[in-house]
Formats: sequence, structure tokens, C-alpha cells
Amino acid sequence: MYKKIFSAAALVACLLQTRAQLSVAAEAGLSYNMPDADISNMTSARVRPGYGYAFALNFSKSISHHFSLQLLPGVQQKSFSIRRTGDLKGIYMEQRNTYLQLPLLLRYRLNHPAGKVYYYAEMGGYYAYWLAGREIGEIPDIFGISSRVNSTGQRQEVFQLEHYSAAHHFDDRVDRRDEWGWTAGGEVHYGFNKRRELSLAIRYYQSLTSRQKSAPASGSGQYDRVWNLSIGYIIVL
Amino acid sequence: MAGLLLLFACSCVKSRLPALPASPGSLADVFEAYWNGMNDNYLYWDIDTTDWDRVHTVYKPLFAALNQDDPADLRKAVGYFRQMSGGLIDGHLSIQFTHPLLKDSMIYPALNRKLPAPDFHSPFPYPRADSGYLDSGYVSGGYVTTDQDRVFAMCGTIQRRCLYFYCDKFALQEAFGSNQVNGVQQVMRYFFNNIKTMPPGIRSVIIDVRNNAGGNLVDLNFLLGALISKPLAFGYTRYKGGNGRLNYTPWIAAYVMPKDDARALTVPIIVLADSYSISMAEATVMAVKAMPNSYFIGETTWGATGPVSDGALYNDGPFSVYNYFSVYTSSAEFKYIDGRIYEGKGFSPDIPVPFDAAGLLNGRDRQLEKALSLLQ
Repeated sequence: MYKKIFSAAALVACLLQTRAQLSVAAEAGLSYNMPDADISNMTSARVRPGYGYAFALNFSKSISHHFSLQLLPGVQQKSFSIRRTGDLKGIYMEQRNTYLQLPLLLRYRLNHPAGKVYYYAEMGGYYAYWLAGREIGEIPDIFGISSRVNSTGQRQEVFQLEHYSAAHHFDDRVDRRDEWGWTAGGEVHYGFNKRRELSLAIRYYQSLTSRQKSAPASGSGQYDRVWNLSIGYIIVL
Repeated sequence: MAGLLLLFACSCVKSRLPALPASPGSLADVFEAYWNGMNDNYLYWDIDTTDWDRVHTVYKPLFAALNQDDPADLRKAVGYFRQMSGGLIDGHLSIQFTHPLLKDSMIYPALNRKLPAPDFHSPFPYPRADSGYLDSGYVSGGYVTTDQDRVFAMCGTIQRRCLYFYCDKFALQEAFGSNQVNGVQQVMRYFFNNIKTMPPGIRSVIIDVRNNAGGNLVDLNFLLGALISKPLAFGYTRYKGGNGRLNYTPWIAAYVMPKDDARALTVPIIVLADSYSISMAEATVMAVKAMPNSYFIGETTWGATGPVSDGALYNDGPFSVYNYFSVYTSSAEFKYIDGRIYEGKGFSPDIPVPFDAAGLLNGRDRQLEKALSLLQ
């Protein structure tokens, strides 16, 4: 873990040492995760997307008139839930996973800097480290059961739904805490002056590694697919 | 606890595995379906020492060499399934074959492990001996459940100072609520009335779940809910959170909930259990032991502590493999309030008293007598 943080810091330091124009920004926004999760063994179930937060620092270094390199160390939440449907509606399991994330992007400026508004397209790769998780849900308590006869004389069982909310306990046999993936997106900047800008960015993050280690010990894969919308404040150094 | 309630018809048991073709192409397909089904549905991969991956490596070629149209190979397949499942610790685990040529076959690993044990004994119908200890006026009776199981219950006082209750299966609430008049209704009325009024002189309550194979989980609140005035925490359950071997939900506290008009028991409670106290009977023992002023006398229980429920309700539990067999396995992993999991081991008594067949045949029940001696 500390080795990874050191590597990220070294990458930032390299960017800062080059001579080209450098900007630093703070970004914050929302994440929207639509994971690709195999739930084929579950009847009456559906994977639902989840919202979360994201914030990052954005170190950007121009490498030519149109191109710049961006490094965005930050934190991103990648949430999702599995909800039962039909007769089992009400049962759900939500995971809120928090990642330390380090995307490295190549950014291309689409217009000339004549006005105050600039447009960018960008793509690259990222590494993320699964920092923490929380599991929230409701499940029928197998002992919280009562029985009654309905109006048609049929016996029915009534289950008490039990709510839970607990920190995820990492298990090396199941959890893959390192995540690699690709990312792409776009940005719009508004320049207040030569040194201050406001940004609106939308980025998509596709993990190429599953959060769960290979089957069968942990089941089939779970691949995060995250949209991120954030606003930032940029200082051009 | 969440305030929501969920309603299910009892008859909604169904296979929860991905839809399989109507019939397998080979016995290797049957093996794969079982092996994968156990990956997802079996709960004890966190503590079971069976190397399931090695099982796959070893048995896949053996099944591949079998012909499902050859009755001798079918028998051989049953033997392989028995071997590969033999070490699995789930005390409920059983495989009931439904294939027309194998209908007399069943695999029950827990029983197979117990048979060679030096203290192994056959089930004994305790009321034969124990009815002799009861004061006159005791009540007993039976009920045939909707699943055609027979339930017998008995309740009375012993020496006018102990209230004694026995049942050999748990379908008590079903019997109590049945439109058909039955003997279990009378027994439960007698028990509840005495618990409510607690006649003077009664200095203890004995719940006897020896030779009780378990039954409806709803009976835990129905029976013990009459003895407590506030929720009784007695352990934790967890379930599979998704597919795979080690994908679990967090542990969730398990409670016995009091009945609306119940008062906390003020006298000691003793639970009698033996090596044929299974499943719900073990839950009853452990819940009683979580009550203050309680004692457990008898033998270590069977070791099937994880409850079983509808196969569709959870991401685990019972499932079927083609038209070959159905697998009966726990739907929840249970951890007692002391933080230990007793699956496959059984819950041990505070005061062990070995089974005494000769004494019982002569009307002497040493385990019951030990319970009565505590009151001296």
C-alpha cells in the first residue's frame, strides 16, 4: 500500500519538475456505478446502479500546444446493489466501496484558447486500490418468522426483514483490492483570468479486473463501470 | 430490526440454480452441476476442511468415464458422490436421489460419520420411560402435519414441583392453529396455561427435546416466546451474499421474540437433549441456554445448527440437480452467542449424562433424574 502511494507521489513530482505549463485543480463530484456483475444463480434478482462521491486533485502538464498529461489522485466511491424482485421485493444488498484512485490521462484541447471557454477530450488508464467497503441491506431473518393462515385458508409464513449495515471485512481469498482499468471523458473549462479556471468534467471508468478473485472461490466477476461528473477549481502555475 | 414484513406461501420451494437443461448429456454434467451447486449453495466453505477444488480434479475424470445409461455406472456414481461429500460438515447435508433407478439411494454424511462412534446409539422414544415420572393429569397427544409427519408432545408436572414438556418434532404452532382437533393442541394449552399461572410449588421447567429431529423454525418463538418478556439474543446468522464459495452477508443477530402477553420465567429452566436433537431442537437448546438460570443436561447434540428454509429465499440452501437428486443443506450459517460455530460438532451439555438404554427399557431415565436432582 505505502509503495503504491510512494509511486503515485513520485509520478506527481515528475510532472511538477518538467518545464511546461502546469496547473493544479481540486475536483469534487458524483459517481454513478453500473457494475457488470454475474448474478445468474439468483432468482428474482436485479443488479442496480449506485451513486457515490468522488474527489481528486488534478495535476495537469502541457506537453504540446494541444496535448497535456493529467494525473488525478483521489478517492472515488463505487456503489451498487442487488435487489430482489417479485415476491421477494424488499430484500436487497448494497455495497459502497471506496477506492483510492490514480488515473493518468492524455488530454487534447479541442479549440484554440481565444475565448474564455475551452473544450477537452481525454483518455487514459487508471489504477485503484480498494480502501474500504460497507455492506448495507435487508434480509429475511430466518429465526424472525411467524406463521398465519390467510383468508383462503392457505398457511403463510411471515418473515421479519432484518436491516444490516456493516463494514466490509476484506478476505484475501475473495477480494481483489487492486483494480486496473481504462478511462475516457471530456472537460469544459471557463477561464476567469489567465490563472484561474472553473472546470466541468465527465469521465467514464471501466475496470478491466474483477473486484472478486477468479471463480470458483469467489463466484463470477464483478467489474465496475463508473460515470463520474465533477466540477473543479484550477490554478495555473 | 426493519419494520417491514414479507409474506411467503409455504409451497414456494424451488431450485435457485441457473436453469439447467431438462436432462444432462452425461454423468459428468451431473457431477459439474452438483459441484457448482455446492460452490454457490453450501455455507461452510469458510470452516470446512474439504478441498473442493481437489475434489473436482480427482472426480471429474472418474465421472467422465461413466455411462449414464448403464445401471452399474449409476450405482458407481452414487458411490462417488458419497465419497466426495463424506467430509462436508453440514449436519443437515443429505442427497436424496430422484432418478428412477436410484430412488432407494440416499447420502447422509453426518450419519455416516456418527455410525462408527463408540457412543453411537439408536433413537429412543423417551415418553415410554418418562410418562412414568409424570404426576397424574398429564396430557399427551399427536398431530399429523401437512407434510404427513407425525408429531408427539407431552406435558405434565413431576412431583408437583417441576413443569415438564416434551416434543419429538417441531410443528407445534401448526398443530395448535389447525382446524382439526388434535392432541398437540391440548398439550400446548396445558403448557402455556401453566407457564402463565405458574402454580405454587413449581420450582423449575424442563424442556425435553431428546430424539427430536427438528422442524418448523416458527416454533422457536411460539414455544420459547412464552418464557421471556424481552427479545432474547442467542446467536448470529449469515447467508451467502451472492454466488461463489466465500461471498457472505455480515453476521446478523438472532433473537427469540417474546409473545405479547408473556412474562419472564422466574424459575430455573432445564433443557434435555441427546445426540438425536437436531436442527430446530438444537436451536431450542441454545436459546434456552442463553436464558438466565438455565441448564443443559444430556448428550452433545447432532450438530446441524444452521437452519434450513425456502431454496428461493436466500442465495444458498437446498437445490436440485437435474432429475437426479435434490440436495438438502443449510440456508444460514449459525454462530452461537459465545462466538463459536457448532456445525458438525454439536452443542455440549453443561452436565453430560450418557444415554442409558438398559435403564430406559426398565423405565429409568438417568438424564431426567439428573435434572430432577438439581432441584433438591
